[in-house]
Amino acid sequence: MTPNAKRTLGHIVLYIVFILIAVIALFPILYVFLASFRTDEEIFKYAFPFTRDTILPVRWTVENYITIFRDFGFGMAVMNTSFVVLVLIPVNLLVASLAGYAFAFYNFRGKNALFAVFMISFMVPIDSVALPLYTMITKMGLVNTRWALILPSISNGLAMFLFTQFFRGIPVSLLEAARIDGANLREVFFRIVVPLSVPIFITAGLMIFVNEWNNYLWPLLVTRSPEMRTIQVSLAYFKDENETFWSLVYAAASISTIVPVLLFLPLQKYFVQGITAGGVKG
Amino acid sequence: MRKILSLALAFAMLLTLAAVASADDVVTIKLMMSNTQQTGVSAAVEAFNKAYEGKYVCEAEYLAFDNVFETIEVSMQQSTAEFDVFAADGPNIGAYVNRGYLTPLNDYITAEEFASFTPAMQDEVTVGDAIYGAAMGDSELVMYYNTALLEQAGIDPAELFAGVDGEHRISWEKLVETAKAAQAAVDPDGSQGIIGIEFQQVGRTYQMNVLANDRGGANIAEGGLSVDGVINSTPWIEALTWYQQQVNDGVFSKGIAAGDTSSYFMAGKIIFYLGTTALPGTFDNNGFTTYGYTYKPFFEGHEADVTTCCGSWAVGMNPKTEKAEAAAEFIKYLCIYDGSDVYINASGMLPALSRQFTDELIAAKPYLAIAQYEGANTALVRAKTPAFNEYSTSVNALWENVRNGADPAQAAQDCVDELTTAFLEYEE
Repeated sequence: MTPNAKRTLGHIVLYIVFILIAVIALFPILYVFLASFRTDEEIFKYAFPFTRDTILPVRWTVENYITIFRDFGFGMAVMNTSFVVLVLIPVNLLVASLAGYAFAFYNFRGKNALFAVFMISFMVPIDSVALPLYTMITKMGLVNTRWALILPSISNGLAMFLFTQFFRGIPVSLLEAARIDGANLREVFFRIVVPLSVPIFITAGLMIFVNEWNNYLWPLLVTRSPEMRTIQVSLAYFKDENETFWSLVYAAASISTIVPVLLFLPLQKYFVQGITAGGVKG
Repeated sequence: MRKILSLALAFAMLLTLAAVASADDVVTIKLMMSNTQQTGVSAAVEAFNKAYEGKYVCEAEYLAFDNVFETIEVSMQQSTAEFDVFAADGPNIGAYVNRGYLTPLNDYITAEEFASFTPAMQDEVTVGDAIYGAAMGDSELVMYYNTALLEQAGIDPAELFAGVDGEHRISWEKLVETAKAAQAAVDPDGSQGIIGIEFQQVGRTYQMNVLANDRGGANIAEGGLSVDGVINSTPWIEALTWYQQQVNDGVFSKGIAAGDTSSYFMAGKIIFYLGTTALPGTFDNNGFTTYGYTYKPFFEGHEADVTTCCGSWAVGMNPKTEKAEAAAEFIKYLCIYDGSDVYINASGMLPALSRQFTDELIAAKPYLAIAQYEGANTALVRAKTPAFNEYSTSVNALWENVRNGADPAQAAQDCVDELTTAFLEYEE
């Protein structure tokens, strides 16, 4: 076999492996998406034996999508989640970037200890602080309000860490030059630092988005009424003691998945840039 | 003119103040309930608010079934009065009492009122001598069968179940034999995945334990804090071994979760299906009509041991409530008086009150005749223990492990050891 043929064969094998991995990774998502267009009866009727009808709908229907919005108030859940995300992303980015700016460019007493506290804050799982946090929110009378969904997430330790690491890579001389040219602190931050940090803003924004979009435990604890439910909490309502309405779960899960995917696809290059930049500089 | 305006303003203020004072007199109680009970409970709440207009108002929150338990734990651990009244699943009452989540209702429910509940439902809400809740409804175990599949297999259900009643049931042994014959006829190569027999709540202590109970095994030892000599006893080992054998023979399923069994039954994948009396409502909602029902089986040689599982949601009162009178009034309305009738009619649940088994009800829902018989003769409440959460977790795992091939005797002993350790925390 010639070297060229060997290389071609190697490529073919590699691509087959890649395709196989892609199929394994994408199959559950594809199944969920296709099953969202069929009835529960059809899903179970064709579960065995495994044939084309196990995956592809025999009779396509959009009734599941209509049902989740009409009968289960899923639209309200989407609106609530979107509201929380739209409030939290800019607020979080502002808080985290300003904190990162301070940690990266200023020296003050207790800086390292404070930075360590921030680091610990994102290493502690929410489950372990959920109860005291819930007590606090209860005492503030905020249970079953949107404030309860927003307040505890206003600052994000991981985002702040990423900003700090990224900002440390920006030459201090650049900032000093701006100051010499007459820029005040706000102008330095918004006109010099922010434009240079677009990838990290996108990365942190996407991370905050995914965290909040998929947040389940906290909204579960602090929301009660249908008017306050978020997407992940509302998914639990497509079930009763006697049956799980899988077709509805699949329809709601498809919507829940599509939004992050649509955001990630165009922004993924910035995401990777941001992660690598924030992760290695320091 | 100014005088008239001033008078009008003063009158308007007076009216507003009167309205505020009047609104202040109305006591608002908060109820937390599972959304699975929303249809029946919301109708009863509406009736309550109408009946007690100007005195009490009930505001209900309906949480997803899976979220109810977490919410109770979080809310009650914080000792809040967020809810005055809440849904307490029957078997959890002992645990809630142990943790101080429930207040005794003896001062509010008279002995005569309490006696109106069926014996099993009295038992379920009683801890020691105290009443800690009131049952909204009940559940019973009935055996459903897919008439279309049996017909396809050439088996006539009328002939198969001829003469069957509470005293004369089909045996598990004969049921297995029939299920195998039906499977061989409708799915000879097994490619269609037709299941012979399945429990609605497969892998869960609630229904699976009846296999051991049917052989004379208890759920838990007296006192509720020991399973040694119970779960590792002969009836249990025999039941576990028998079940594993049927799974291995393909009569019972492997790998199907409890939440999906009703969908498999309605999709024509299960021939004999043991489930609760709430299922016909689900069948109706899905337009599924090709089914029949009969009494659950017994083990040959254990005719006297036949047992059915029962129990359902109860309503309990938060010890932190500052509206105990109103809360008690609501509980009694929902569970004993007019609200209970509204709830039972709207929900289709099995009544927890003896008086509600009327001829009209049985005529409208004939399967309730079976439930009524079972409730009076074979019903056994789930293990009464303050550690029910640990108990159900461990026993659920035991049934699943045996289903997946674990040695029954060893798995039972492991379960006993696990629970013996878990129970230590509750021993005084």
